[in-house]
Amino acid sequence: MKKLNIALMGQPNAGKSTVFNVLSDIKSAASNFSGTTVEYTESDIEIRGREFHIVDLPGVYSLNPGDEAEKLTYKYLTEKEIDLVINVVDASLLSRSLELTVELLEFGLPMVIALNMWDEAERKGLKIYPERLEKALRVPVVTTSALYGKGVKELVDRCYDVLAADKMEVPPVAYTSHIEENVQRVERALSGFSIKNNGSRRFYAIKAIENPGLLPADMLSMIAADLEEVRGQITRLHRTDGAETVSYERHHIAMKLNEEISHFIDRKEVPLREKIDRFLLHPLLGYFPLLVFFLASFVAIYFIGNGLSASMDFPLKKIPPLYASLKGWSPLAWYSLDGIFQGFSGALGIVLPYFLPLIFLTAIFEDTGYLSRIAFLMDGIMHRIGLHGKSVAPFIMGFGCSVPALYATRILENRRERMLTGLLIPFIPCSARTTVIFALAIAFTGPWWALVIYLFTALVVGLTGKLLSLFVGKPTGLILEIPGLKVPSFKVAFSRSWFRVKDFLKFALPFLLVGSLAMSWLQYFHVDRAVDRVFAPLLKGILGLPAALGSTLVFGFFRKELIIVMANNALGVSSTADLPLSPGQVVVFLVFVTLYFPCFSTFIVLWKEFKWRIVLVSTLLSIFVATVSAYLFRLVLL
Amino acid sequence: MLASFPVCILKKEGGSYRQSPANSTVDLQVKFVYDLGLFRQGNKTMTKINLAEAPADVELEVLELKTGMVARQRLLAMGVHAGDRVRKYPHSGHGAVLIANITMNSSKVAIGRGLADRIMVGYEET
Repeated sequence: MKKLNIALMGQPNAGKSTVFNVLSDIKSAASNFSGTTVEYTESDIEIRGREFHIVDLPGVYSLNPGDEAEKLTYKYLTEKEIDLVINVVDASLLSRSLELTVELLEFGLPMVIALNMWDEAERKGLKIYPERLEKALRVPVVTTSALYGKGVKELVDRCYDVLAADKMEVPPVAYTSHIEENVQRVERALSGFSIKNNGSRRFYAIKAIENPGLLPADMLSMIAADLEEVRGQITRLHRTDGAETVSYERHHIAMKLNEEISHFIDRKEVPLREKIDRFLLHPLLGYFPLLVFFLASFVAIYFIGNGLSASMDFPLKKIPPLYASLKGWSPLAWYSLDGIFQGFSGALGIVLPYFLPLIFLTAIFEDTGYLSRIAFLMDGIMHRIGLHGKSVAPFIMGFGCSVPALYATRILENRRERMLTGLLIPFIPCSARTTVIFALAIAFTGPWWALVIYLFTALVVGLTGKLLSLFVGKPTGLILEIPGLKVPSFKVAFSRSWFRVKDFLKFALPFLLVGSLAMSWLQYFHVDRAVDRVFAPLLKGILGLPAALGSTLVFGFFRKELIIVMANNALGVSSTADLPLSPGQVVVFLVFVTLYFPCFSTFIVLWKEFKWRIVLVSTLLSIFVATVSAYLFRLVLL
Repeated sequence: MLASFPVCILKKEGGSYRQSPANSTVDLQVKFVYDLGLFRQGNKTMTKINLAEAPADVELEVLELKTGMVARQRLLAMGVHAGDRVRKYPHSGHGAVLIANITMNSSKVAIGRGLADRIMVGYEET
């Protein structure tokens, strides 16, 4: 039997990813910030013994794509095979959300509406009558609170019924008569055109009036004469263009629907949340919680990481003596075993202890909606470095990992901002580099130097951004939704963290083990010395560091966590604290490795997202910035 | 704040606002696309100003989105339309402007200062 395709569509923050998570077992990254799903996530699910393919598309405010993520959704919707659309609607923002619903009805695919965040709407004092919506739109409507798994079973049942029935008429909503006449006129002009993509004739007729740029050229040329007249008439009658007229039409329909199907039973504001929000968003006081937030995260990661790392240290130190006797018997076997063990103990004793608190905090934080508030607060400052507030989100994600951060640049509408943000992201210390910074800082310099390095990278991002923006013109304006504050769910945060830990164990751990093994072999066969010689002028000459660290830089290119494991291995010590480095050298080394090169995965994603020229610029830029920065630190410290 | 910005007075005449004759060279008829009961009845005098310079914590009525096509589509999709009543949050005078839409009861929207300069709003002076 043919596998049927279900697409989840909705506005940003409507909870599509949460619905998707419940429907499938995959935990896709969901968060309370517009545009976290920038690539679609897919999964196969089974309902009553039948297999369905389900896809979670990036949120769109309307079917007039602005940024890359929205373009992706539009392309998927029009070009891929879809048997059913689940329109996830934020019930607490009903009237705005219904505008997209109206547009999807025009599109004409079979549809089921999930009125999500039902509990949130009730909390706001909004009484909604879903049966009235069902009657008005003549499509199935289900109420859900996906976060708590409520209503999802019914949603699945209704979807199954629609798909089993095979044929579903999706009646479009009629416009006011004079616009309706125009729409029908364009629709008639299109009647001889065979539409290859998804989407009804009516949908393309409306889009022709609203946003003709979206139509295929052959379709557009067929209706050119009629369209010109229609658009001219609309402009005369409404004193505005087709885009605004059609948008107001939908707005009007959505408002009317909203009035018909809902009313406020208790129009009380939520005073406490609003008060908190006023504080968080205050133009001056708002920076205070921002600062506290960053410092608290820093301290939490430092202490939790340190504690976990110390507790792992003791049992791990007991193991190497167990196989020490092997060295005399077969040095190659000892080198191999020790290489694997060093990789394992590096992952368990150094990388994971800092990685865990970081990803858990990020998961909680993403849920609250604070990210978009930071974007708003930072807009003024970001303008000074040639960007706008929206770039803050990819930057903050960059503290986790540069790869999703680079994908997140897709939420930026403008190519200029995307490129600039993409070039700056590799400078932000990701979780892997955070591990290296913290592990070495704890062993040698204390937490303050870690903080200095963080502040220094912020300075580097600022200055580099300012410098680059001199070549690429002015930034465009910010338009950003600030979603309601939410109490984060620990359950969701736990499952999301677990998903990322699994990811780490699956992809990073083998890398660490194999890398560490390779490093041991390089030492055994003395190849590392050749590599070290290549890097010696830079490391020894310019930065005043031991040349033996050269080979760690090569491994660091593959995974930044490897730097710490490799440094131990290269300098022949079993514990980081025993490294023959002075605190000053450690700081210079840290500054260099934090900035020196995007890692392999970042490299690939940069290539994929921005083409080779940007990769080249990024590479040269980071080597230059890292060398200059580390040299400056050397002048002061060594 | 008002002194730095040219102020024109709009008067309501049968369902639409008209610029006061004193400085009216252009007929600045503000669009009334739909009568949704969003507008208060009765004669009133409105001050037209751009959103960036409009006062905070006052009920403002969005009159015109003079931004480029892309920004306008985005604003419309996020629920900022001419005719909507919005409230602006206090701000420092630089950086983005934050508004809450009273008509739509939707989430807050942050708008960059350059764009806010080009969104015209009206408010009733008390």
